Amino acid sequence: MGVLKKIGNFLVKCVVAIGNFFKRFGLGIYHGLKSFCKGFINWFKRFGKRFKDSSTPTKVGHFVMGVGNIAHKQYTRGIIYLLVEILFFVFMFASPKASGTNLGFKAIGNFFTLGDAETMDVDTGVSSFGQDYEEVVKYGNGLVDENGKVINTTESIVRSAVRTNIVLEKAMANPNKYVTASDGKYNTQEMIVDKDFNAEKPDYYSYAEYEEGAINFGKISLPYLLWIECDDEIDLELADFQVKAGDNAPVGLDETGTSGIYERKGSEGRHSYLLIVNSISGRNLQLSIAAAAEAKYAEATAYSIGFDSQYVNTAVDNSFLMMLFGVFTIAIIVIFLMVYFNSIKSAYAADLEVREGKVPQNFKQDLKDFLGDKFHLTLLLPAIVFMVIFTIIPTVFMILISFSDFQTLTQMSGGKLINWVGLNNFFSLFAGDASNSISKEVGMNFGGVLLWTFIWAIVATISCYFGGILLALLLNKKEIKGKKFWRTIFILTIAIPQFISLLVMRNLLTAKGPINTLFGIETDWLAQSSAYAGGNVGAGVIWRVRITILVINLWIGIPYTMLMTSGILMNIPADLYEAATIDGANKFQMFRKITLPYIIFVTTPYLISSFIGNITAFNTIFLLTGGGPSKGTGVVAGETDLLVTWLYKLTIDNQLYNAGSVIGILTFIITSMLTLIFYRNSKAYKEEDTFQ
Amino acid sequence: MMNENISAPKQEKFRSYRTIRNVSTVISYVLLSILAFIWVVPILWIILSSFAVGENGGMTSVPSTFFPQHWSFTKNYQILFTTNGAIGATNLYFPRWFLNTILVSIFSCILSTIFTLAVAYVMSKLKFSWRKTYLNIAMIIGLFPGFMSMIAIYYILKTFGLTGSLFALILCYSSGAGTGFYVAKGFFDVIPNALVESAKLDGANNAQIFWHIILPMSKPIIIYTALMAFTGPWMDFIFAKVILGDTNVDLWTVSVGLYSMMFGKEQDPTIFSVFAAGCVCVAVPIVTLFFILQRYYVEGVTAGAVK
Repeated sequence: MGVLKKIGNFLVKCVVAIGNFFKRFGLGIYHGLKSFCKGFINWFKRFGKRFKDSSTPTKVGHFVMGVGNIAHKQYTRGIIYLLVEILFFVFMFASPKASGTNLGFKAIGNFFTLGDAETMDVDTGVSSFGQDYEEVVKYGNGLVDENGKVINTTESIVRSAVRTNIVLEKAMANPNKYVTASDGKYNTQEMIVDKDFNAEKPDYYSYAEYEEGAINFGKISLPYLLWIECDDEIDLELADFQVKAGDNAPVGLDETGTSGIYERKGSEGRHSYLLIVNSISGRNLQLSIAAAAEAKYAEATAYSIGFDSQYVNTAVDNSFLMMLFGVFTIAIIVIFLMVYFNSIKSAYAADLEVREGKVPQNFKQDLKDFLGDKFHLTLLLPAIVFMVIFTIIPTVFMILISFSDFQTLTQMSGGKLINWVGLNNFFSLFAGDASNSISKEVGMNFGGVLLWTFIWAIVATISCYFGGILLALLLNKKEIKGKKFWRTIFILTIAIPQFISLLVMRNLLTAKGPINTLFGIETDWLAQSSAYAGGNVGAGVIWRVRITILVINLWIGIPYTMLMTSGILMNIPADLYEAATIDGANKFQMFRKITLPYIIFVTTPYLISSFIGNITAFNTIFLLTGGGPSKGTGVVAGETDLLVTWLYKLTIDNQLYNAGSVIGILTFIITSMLTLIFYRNSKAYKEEDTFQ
Repeated sequence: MMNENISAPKQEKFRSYRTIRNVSTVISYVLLSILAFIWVVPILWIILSSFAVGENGGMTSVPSTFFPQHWSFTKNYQILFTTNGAIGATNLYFPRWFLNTILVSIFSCILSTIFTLAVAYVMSKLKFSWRKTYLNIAMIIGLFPGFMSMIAIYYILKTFGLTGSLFALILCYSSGAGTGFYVAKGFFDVIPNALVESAKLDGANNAQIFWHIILPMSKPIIIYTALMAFTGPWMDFIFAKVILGDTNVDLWTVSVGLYSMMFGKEQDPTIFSVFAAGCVCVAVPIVTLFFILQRYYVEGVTAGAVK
């Protein structure tokens, strides 16, 4: 009865703690905002006062950094500040583009809009085809996209057209060899030039025949342009263009709009042909271009291009880079502001020193400071730089992605725009809308995965914790000789890299593995066979797998707790036991009243952090079951998935980046909430100190 | 008369007490042995499997029995170290992987240790205005699942063309110091402040205190941090896989390589015995290191947990 009451009390305490947490959280935000506003106003007032109080050079130094310092003969410092300011403004206003995307203050604007087609700049390569610009533009104008919207992508067409040419000279020199074709963006392929062109054969070649020569440009956007150039005239007619579907059934070029071939004189007497494909009725199409029989490049000019027309859009701005550079620029601005305020502070401090009659520090003394009072900066700065670049910026970036619709690789390479969607992703989590991929995948499975994550964390932590304590107690008994030997065996398992031991376990427990053979059974403990690949497995299987994982986790986790508890057990002051023996306590009572409370008291922080760590225990789950039998066909989440393994699968395997980010953020919210709750409560508990 | 009555019961109690103790000792030993055996079994099996060969003397897939049916002490290791290309359906460049991992380990160990100790010392012993803020921010950032940032890091690196290079991997492993310094900090916390203050009175500045006083007496924690940083790249395969990419097979570390041999797109279950040999080859150096530096590891674990 007493135990039940204790459990009841504990649960009540938990609920109260969570309630308190939310209350304090809300109040905390309110007070935080209030004090933030007040603090900001105060800071502003102080800033103004300091400005008024500073000497004239320093006042100037508010605008031209470093002047205040120079006036006080801190030359090196002042010049450094000045240089920083100049560099900053150069960067913001005059930095070159990187990978075709703006840096500097333009990046901030881009950050909010994430680009669109109209803002594309014309590449300088246009100039070599300058006189044909209008002709190309004429062809380019009037194209329509799949929604019937007329695209004003003249400049983008020029850009891609200009950079596209097929080098047929190579083919001329080496018939049946390679030809380089470029679609002007990201793909440069070498194509195997045609086999002998047989005039008696029909003018097109089916996909099957050209399998070897077929090059898939991957997912490219429409309108698609191919600019073909050669020294001599190639007789290319529209009739020669055949578009075939993968199964050899002719599908046809969609000749609405301006799809087709346009011949025009290229520069320097070359012949150029511009192939514009506006839209295609179908996917995985193959385009064959064959020259007329009498052209002397007959041998060399038949090649095929296949492409997958999954997209129809006209974006050419690289939204991903815009996001990235936006964050980067904002970071630069923040750093600059920090240096700016620092410069004012130092100039003002020099002001004060001069007024008091002291000589302000010169640069050599500044340097010495870095070994003395400012030593913390010297030590911290490199580590902080690394941390910012590799941890903070990526995390911020991922948070931003969860507010966007970034879902595929093409958006990263600039083939498609990313858009801000605000909190839509979070709302669609719970909307149950089957058409939205986030809603379908994340919303419908989130509850299940969350529940299992908690079950796993609780059971795994408690089982390892008590298992470790029991093992340590066993080891620590006075009668056992060779404690070190026994402990070494268990440390052995810690020393083995986790991924090895987990993979070994996985192999040990296959349906036909050694353990099963030993006992003559054939249970597939971890549901590894392909029979479970389709998902929708029965509850019996699910729980068998889950329990197996928990048991294996004991093997992994108990040695850690055992090690720590051993150390603690040896540190319990012996006089406590002696006093208890004198008082007439037997062994069991001593254990219950001295050992156990002491251990629990000391290792509570470890228990909490290991619980929180188990929520994100990626290795164990991933290596043992890869997330377990899937919840259903085509569903990414599995029966043994934790939030983090699910995150991994969503992003790496399925490229649903925004879904992954959403889950990441939710995981963070959960772990931080738990951390705060436990941290507060355990501190309070510690202060009560009732165990004595 | 009275004495006899009093002494006899005491003797009986004594005897039964000793028997109970003997029996419980025996039970304890038995229990311990069983547990130790259970813990050691998987390790034994993988070593045995690395000596297993198929019927024709070549490699074999997961054996059905505990003891291999055919033995060869060197066949699998020979395959492991001499194949430098495709094997079965997958790739095996073990010597190359081993070297890669050693390279990455050494450099990230150096960088990591320097950063971690620096940050831990600053957080523990130096006072400056934004100390608390930094601690809070570090804790919050540490709460984010590591994989969120991993994917973003991959794309950021890709933009700068650094993916698929070991250099990027070293940088990533070293960057954990900003948030992973708690154990070292706990150690530095225990060093009495009086020591630092008396040195200051003698006129030393902070750098001298750190270099001449604190570091020499921090051998355990330096070794612990270095050990953790060194063994990290051997064990991590997620980060390495994402950053190095699927196609740069000769750049992989051992963990990625071993993982891809048995799982993933290019897995090949028939080379399990070679995989086992690879596991042994990876485990042996790590375990040896752990044993040599056992003392420091235990000290680090207990110091970190018992704040």
